[in-house]
Amino acid sequence: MPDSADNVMDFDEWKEKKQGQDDRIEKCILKIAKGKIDYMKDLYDLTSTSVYGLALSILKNSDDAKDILHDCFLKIHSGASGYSSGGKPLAWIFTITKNLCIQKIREDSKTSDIPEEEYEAFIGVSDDVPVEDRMMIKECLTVLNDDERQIVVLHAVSGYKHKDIADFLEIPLPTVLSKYSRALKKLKERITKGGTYDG
Amino acid sequence: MTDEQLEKRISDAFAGAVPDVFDEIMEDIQKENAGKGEKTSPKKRSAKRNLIKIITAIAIAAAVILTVIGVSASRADSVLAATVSLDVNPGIEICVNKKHKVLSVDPTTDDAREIIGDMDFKGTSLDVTVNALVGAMLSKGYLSDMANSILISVDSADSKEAVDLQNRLLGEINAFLENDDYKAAILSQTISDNAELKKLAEDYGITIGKAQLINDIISKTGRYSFGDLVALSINELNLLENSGPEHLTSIGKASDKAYIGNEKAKEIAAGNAGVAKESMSDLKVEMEYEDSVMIYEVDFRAGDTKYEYDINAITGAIIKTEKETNRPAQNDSENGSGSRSGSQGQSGGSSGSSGSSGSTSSGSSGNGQSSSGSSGNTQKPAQEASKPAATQPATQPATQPATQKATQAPKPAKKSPIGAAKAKSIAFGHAGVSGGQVKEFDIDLDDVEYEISFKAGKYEYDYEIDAYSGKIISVDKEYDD
Repeated sequence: MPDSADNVMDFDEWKEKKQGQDDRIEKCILKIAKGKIDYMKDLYDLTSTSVYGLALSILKNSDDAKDILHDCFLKIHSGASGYSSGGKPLAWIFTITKNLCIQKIREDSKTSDIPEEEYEAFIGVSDDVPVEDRMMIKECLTVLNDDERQIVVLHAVSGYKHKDIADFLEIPLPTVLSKYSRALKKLKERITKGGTYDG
Repeated sequence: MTDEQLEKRISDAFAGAVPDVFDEIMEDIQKENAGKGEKTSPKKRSAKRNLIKIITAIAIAAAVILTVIGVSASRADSVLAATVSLDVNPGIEICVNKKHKVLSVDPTTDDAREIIGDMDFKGTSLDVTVNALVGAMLSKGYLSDMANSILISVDSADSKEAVDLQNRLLGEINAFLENDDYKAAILSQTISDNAELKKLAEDYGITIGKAQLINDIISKTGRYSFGDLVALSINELNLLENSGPEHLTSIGKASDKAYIGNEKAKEIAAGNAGVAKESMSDLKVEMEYEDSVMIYEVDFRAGDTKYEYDINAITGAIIKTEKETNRPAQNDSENGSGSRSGSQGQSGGSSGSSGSSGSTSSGSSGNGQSSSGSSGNTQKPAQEASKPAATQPATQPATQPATQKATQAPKPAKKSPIGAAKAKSIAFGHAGVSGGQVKEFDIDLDDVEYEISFKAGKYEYDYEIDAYSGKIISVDKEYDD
């Protein structure tokens, strides 16, 4: 489990980082397609949180999300040669992720209406995860509806642009924007009211 | 809080929660590459325990390393007398006492835990234990007819004891497998118990036997670094290990059923070169491990030309080709001396080409050929070496025509890489840029090549440069806005 501190970085650094990574991600995929599996590590470091975040936001279950994370990278590796360079590597990766999630939902035929207590159980799976992270994720999963949740995760965690989110989720851009701002508002309210951490 | 602060908080939360499954992912990829055949999905792996059935009806050759590490003999029954390690890819260490009764069984790798499961071997005899573990490896798919190499390594202060044990186990495993009509490849070696090997083994989580095998491969072939080979299974290492070092004896043939096979590799190479298989001489096919892929290296001559192919061992895709037109004199199999009179080039190690003296063939006199035609004519006068023409060495007889190119030695082993600075200047030189114009420079030494990327002017460049020859393998230039 990565130490949370490792991933927390200075704010401006974080902003910049999010913007510059598409090129590096694409490079990794192209290299992997050529059989250079050394690049799997780089790719993993760059994108595992995004994949996991998306999977978690769809499946709302951390065990399942972990499976998806694993299977997704296997698929990336075996399917890298099918990636056509177009500057949108995340779209390709997210499509794989989403399809795996859909498959999983079908297999498990689980519904996503899971009672609150079960959320706790899912998220509390690993003790390694620091408490405030767990709480934060829990808020995301409980307070937001499906669309809001996916949009928030895609944008905040992966740095995915609203326009690309609109394409990916097949929702009109204005809708994405308004859902996003509503989602943030909801979360802010929860956080500041909740009082468990600073606002 | 601002929106952005909230976003960062969310991002941090997920970053803190994401599990690190990278190792499992890579393990599965390695297994898939080795042709294990099944897609393993993490939650759905279920242990199949069919031990008894497996032991009595072994359908598959096993790949196991037995490392017997002996310790000086002693009286008490519970004192360690020897350690036997089972290595396929999972590694297991079995400690036995003087009477070869098991004291403990320990996994040295994580997947070995799955094999041991909850079997308790204490007090059991070594043979039964080994059988049970081999059986477990079979039922869980770590051993198969696609991976059949066994390495027995014996290390003991008491060398007689070690040799005895080794031979006994060798004999037993052989008989055990022959019983089911299976071809195992058994390697056995003696280990000198040294601290450095031990540390390497511990650091990488493998047994000493495997560590020694890896070291041997490295020193024999002059390629690979230790870390490269650690993830390979014993079967793959066996395939790379073409003829054992002095203290490694080898029986049987490592399974290459996961791969296309030497014959197919030959065919692919021959087909691509446009030569008939029969006209291939000095043919050498070897398995190598390059860029994390098992490959066949197919080297041969046909006519004047020397060919070298790197072929993906699983897919059959041609990864690399090299071609050179040689003086026929350079054949290793001959008394290759530089002083050749004009009449006869080759003494023709394989098929004699004496009949070809005096026949002209695109201006190269005295070209013997090992092709059955032995007509001495090169059907491909236009054949150019892929390497630039080097100057003729002084010993060449004057009759050799100028069109001939000097032979270059096959891949130099044990040469050192050209260095980052040199690679950088090659790349810049080719791109026609100076250091000052370059931004975002990145260089990576990736085993046999330098990967260099940089931006200059409006473009982004990606170079791959052979680390030993400095040759530019690939160039990528993209408009960068």
